[in-house]
Amino acid sequence: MADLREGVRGDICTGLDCHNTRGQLLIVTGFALAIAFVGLALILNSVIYTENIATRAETTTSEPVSLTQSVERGTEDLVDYINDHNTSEEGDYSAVKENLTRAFENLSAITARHHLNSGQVSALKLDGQMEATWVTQTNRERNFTNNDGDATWSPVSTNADGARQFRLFVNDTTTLDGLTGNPFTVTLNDSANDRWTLQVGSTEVEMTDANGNNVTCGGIDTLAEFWVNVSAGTVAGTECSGLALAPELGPVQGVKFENGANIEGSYRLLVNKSEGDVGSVGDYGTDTSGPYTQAALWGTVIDLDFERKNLVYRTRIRIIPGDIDE
Amino acid sequence: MSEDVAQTITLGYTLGLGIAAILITGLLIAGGGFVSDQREAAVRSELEVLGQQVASDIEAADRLAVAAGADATVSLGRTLPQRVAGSTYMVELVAEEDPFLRLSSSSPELEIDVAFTNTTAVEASRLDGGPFVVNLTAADELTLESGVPS
Repeated sequence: MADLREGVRGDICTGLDCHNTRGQLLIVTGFALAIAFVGLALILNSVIYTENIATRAETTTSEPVSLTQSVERGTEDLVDYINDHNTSEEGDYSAVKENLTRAFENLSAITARHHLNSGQVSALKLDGQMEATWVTQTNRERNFTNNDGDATWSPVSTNADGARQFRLFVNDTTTLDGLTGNPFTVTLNDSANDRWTLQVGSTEVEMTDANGNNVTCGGIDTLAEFWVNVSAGTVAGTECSGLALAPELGPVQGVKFENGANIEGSYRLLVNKSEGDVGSVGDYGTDTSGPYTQAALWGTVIDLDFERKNLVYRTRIRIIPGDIDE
Repeated sequence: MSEDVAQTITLGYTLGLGIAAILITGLLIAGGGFVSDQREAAVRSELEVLGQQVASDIEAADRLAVAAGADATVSLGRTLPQRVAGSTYMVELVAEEDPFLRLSSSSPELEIDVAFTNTTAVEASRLDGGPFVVNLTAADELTLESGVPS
């Protein structure tokens, strides 16, 4: 029986020597409560573990984004370098494409090896290269007429889809006419026939954007020669804020020169058009004594694949260096 | 005790048993209620943590989807515990105008909502605990699916 008191009459023990106390109910209850509290401790332990897991930074997605950005920058540099150092013959796109393919294979291999060290897999694949054309004249002793000597002509007469890296060098400022006379004029137009005009006068350079706003930059009247870099937005090395193509102007479709006899120097322009489709008969020659064209690349498309534990990321990147001029 | 007590042995037993029974019953009820309350709090806390983890994965996949542009593949996975404090649970992606996650456990029956921010649209989906993946579908929507990234 569940006695609660010592030395109950009828026990075999007497007095203070009795050790026959029994408390089965209490001990069973104690066991039951102990088991319940142990179970509670296990539950709370799992909660602590879960909350500890929550404080760890596991969801990182910066690797694919940084990979994309580094591939973009690297490929842009490759395209620019290949364009600037192309020595292939006229119309030979296979050489520039082969150069980019080989260079890109190196970039891809380096990138893959770098990511493998971190337990990540990256794969890059060139999928298409866009042909472009350098419209250029390197003979600084010549005016800006076409190969046949016409002062008004269109270096890009067909529907191009953008132009960039436009710069011209004035070798002899005495050949320039004033803005009020017949200055050398470059006109770029887009598909909506909005126009951007650059006039190079003897004392200043004037731009007119697609909205008809004029910007004039001077500081050239005392110079014997100077650069006009449309892409960089500078005249004679000085910033000319209005020189950049207006945002309202869409991708350049046509380029026209007027009064090409009133300027002497060199120029260069990259056009998003294949070499055979640029200009008209008689515009370009086959040597560097006058204006000529050269094969180049406008850009390329890359398939990017990135995988790591718990993440798969695939995208298609269109690489066009310096596309703000478009 | 001496033999000069006033009550009988039987009465003593009865009183003792009664007191013990009342005491034990009270202890068990209090202890059981305490354990039950703590278990419910534990389940709620775990669901909130798991909900935040799933929400962060959705937001991360959203960022990648935005960076990748159209026709991209984004698949971000994680493994959730099968049970929380011994209870099964469901994770539901509610695709309303302001989407959110709803996690619900079976025992005790609890339901919590976790909000997240997104730019990419989401597709309504439900799944149990375990490995799951946030996928960008062909319709450029984020959805929750059981499985591993592919």
